[in-house]
Amino acid sequence: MAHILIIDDDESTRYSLSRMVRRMGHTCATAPTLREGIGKATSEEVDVVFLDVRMPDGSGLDALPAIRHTGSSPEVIIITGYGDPDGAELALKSGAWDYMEKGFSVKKMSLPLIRALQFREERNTRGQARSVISLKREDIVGSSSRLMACLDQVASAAGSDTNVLVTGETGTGKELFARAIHENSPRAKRSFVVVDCAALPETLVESLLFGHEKGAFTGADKVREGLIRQADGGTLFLDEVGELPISLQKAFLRVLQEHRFRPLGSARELKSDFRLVAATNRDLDRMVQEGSFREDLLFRLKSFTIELPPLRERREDIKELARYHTDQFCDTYGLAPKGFSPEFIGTLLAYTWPGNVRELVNSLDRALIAARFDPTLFPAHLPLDVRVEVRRSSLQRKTTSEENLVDVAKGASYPGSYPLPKLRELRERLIEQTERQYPQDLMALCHGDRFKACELSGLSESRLYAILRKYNIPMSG
Amino acid sequence: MTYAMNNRTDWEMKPKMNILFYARNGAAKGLEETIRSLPLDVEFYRNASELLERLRHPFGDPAIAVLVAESTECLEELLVLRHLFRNVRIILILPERESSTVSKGHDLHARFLTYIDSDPAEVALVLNKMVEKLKAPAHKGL
Repeated sequence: MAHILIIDDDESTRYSLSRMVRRMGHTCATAPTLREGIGKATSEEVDVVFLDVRMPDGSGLDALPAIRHTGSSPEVIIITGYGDPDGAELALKSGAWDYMEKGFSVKKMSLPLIRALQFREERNTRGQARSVISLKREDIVGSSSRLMACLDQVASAAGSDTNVLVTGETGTGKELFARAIHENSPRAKRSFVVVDCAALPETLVESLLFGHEKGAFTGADKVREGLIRQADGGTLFLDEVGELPISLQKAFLRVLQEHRFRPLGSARELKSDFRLVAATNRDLDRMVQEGSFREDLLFRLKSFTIELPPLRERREDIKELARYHTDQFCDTYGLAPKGFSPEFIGTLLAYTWPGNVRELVNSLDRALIAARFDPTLFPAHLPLDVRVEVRRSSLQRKTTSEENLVDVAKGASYPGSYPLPKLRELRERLIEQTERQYPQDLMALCHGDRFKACELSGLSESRLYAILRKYNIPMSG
Repeated sequence: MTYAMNNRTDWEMKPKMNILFYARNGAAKGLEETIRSLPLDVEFYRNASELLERLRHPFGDPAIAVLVAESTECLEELLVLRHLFRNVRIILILPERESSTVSKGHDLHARFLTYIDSDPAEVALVLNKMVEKLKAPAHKGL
């Protein structure tokens, strides 16, 4: 018998779902507000929660992580009267079990409940899955719903021996997640063997992976144990697996299936009991279509996929990340802890971070170089490209809204409707805005030092002079 | 060579890549010569205190360290410094092929692991490819 919680402000929904749950032989509690629902999820041992999206005291989707991370880590089935694809995607990415529209019959609503309870029972029987709370997550910082959902997957993956594929843009922390899977698994005491497929020259990959006998090829003057063998009992981490030469993929697929392989030049096969975690920032499905990645290997790799969100989709973690890494750097460099000005945090939050957490960490490192012994970090300490991008996009937003007002007054708006301005005029206007703002930022950052300004901007001295003259910017220094 | 944080300009003028080569007491001469022959700006360190001093200063840009552990004792020393290599890509050269030594080597999460008696050209190939990869526009940051 399971205990189910229904959080919905609609009395008739609470009534019909309660009836369904009791008929299925389970106990049930209800709550008409999120506040009351979170309270019950915290104080009671709940297995599954039916959670409405539109609640009088907030969005159910926003409350989802808090409910998922209560003591009993219940599965959550989102129910909504206003189904939309984006909401469904967000819910699932945030760790919801399912996303249902209220229009469905009670019988249809019972199916995801049965499946969620089955999943929960099997997981409890295995007794291996860790909760996110007890997970070792060194250097994985943040508490956003997107991150917590990924950590939930790490906890599940760590409890099994299935192959895992970690995907995400460059700099999202794929290796950290791969290590977290290893560190939280029963294999943690054995080796975590990294194979950097992008860094290994094609001529070396095969002998490094499989190993070789003495004399197996020209230059093989000693026996070499392969990385596959070194990962015996531990985890083999294939980073940037999309770069694995296609000529090797078939052989590696066989290793993955049989956990046996033959070193180059050897007559006998060796065994290796490794667990595979692979990572990529490439679209492997597309590579399969293009013929540069084997479909059967991809099928094996995708047994369990963790998709890491880009930093711009978990902005709520930026402040915590900045604090964590700045403190780490200060500790390493023997500097006193730094404070953050509100504008510094504002700039970090406004930037898009195309290089994700890696770029953020790098920018903080550079900010510390600029700040040295200053006790507080200001936007001026951040790399110029970050500041310029933030300023530029804020100006563009401002300009666009101002222009829209003018255009609306003229009976036309852009973008989005006609008549469009002439491209040449638009381009010139944008260039002028950028040319006007950029040198101001540049000269402020370089404290008027023209040589340094040329160095940073990549402009020749004559071009810099021309721009400064054109916009009446003082040429001090 | 030591790298002191003398002033801000020094750091900002640095090339957009930090490559460190560490071999205690000039071990792995052949490898060092090979690395010196590459068209790369490499900082060379011959003792642990110099290396430690360097690691205690910001990199600001991507960093790769070629670390020669010429003995198991040296490998242990490097493992003690592990936390300082958090954002550094490591190429590790081990003193021997013993499985316990290799296993310790993997604790440094090296991107490439080889042995002191292996062909230095392998390290050069991997280092070049790493540099190429880190300079690619997709690799924004460290």
